[in-house]
Amino acid sequence: MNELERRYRAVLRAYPHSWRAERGDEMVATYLDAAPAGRTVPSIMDIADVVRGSLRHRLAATDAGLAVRGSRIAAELALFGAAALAAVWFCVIELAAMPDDYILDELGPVQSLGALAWASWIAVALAGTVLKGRPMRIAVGIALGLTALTIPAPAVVPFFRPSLTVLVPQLALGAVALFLSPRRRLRARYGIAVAVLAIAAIALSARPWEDALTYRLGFGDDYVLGAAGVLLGTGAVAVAVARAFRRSADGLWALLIVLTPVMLLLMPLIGRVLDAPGLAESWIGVLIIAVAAAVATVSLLSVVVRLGLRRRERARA
Amino acid sequence: MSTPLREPTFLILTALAREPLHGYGLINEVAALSDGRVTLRPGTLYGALDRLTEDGLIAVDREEVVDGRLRRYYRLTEEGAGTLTAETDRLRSNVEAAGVRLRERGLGFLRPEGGSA
Repeated sequence: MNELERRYRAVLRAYPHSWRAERGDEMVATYLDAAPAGRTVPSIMDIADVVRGSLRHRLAATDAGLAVRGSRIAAELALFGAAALAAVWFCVIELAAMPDDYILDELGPVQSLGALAWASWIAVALAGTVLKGRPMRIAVGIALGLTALTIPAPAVVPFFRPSLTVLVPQLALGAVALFLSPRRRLRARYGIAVAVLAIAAIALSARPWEDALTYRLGFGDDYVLGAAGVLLGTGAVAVAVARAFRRSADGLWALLIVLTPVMLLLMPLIGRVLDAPGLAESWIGVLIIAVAAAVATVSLLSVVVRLGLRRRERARA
Repeated sequence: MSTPLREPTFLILTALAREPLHGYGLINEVAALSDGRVTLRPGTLYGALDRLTEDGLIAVDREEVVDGRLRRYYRLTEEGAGTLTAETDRLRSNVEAAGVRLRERGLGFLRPEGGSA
């Protein structure tokens, strides 16, 4: 074995072991045949070719249907998370009086521009009992749009809006909810609607009526977001485990997809625990979320791809 | 495999229509068939060979070891020949339709040499 062949074999380690065992010798021979005389190291183009080919091979092993099913499971979890949080914010904060030292006006019976966004998410959860397919996705899109518009709105109207630590996770959850299945199961449609109504009722009954509240003062929205993150993350893990028992990796895809919203929800609480309350709104915080999401995504994706490769090998055998 | 075929796939099947070829032979034949326009790299080639084998359009014909290098030859299967024929008919029909429309516009460059519109 000459040096060039040894180096091509090293580069081919980008492919799974099973693939190399079947195709490795043949592919190395083809690279050697195509290499100009005198070459001692693989060209950059050849290395890029191997990396591209191995990625394509690994991704081809994953089932497109699996990703679609996973995104639909994630969408149900995200819709529930978005509507449940909206119910808490609307009932506990928006209906409360603002502290006296706030310079901005209240917006009628509610505190801020966030009320419209929260009401739209609650309405979407309830509308899910009758709407399906495209109309339901449009409803989710409208709620998402209203939430997004809340961010720049104070620049043009003299009203208050919820903090970004509250709005950004809501946008992330809403974006995932756009993947709702056109044929949602009855139990998911009614289950989410009933659960959101129950959460709203509990929030209303548990609300400290005598206190003036806002998103940042006296209430601890970090804990609400953190609890939502823990519950959503735990729910996604439970679904992944349950689906794994049924020999399906779609729950892992769902977990992969909800991971970023979950981390956005957990960020303010992590900031509080680390004694850095502004972490979630700082560039460092955003960077931490991005890196953590990337690491978690790549780790989970590699698990899903390994499962796919193993299934493919079994099918071939 | 669904049609229309992508150009590299079409050219690989066309290259194998005459005789079984190994990887490097296929790369050269595809380049020749496309006048050098399509240059397959081994990573792309073996990805395509995997798919075509799984779809039953090609099969391993034989293996040889030349100068210590493994050469695996691939041949077109009956199913592969059928797919190539169907795709060729589809492309021919499209070319003929385009020729008719261009002649109607007075663009005669699709005429055979020395022929008339």
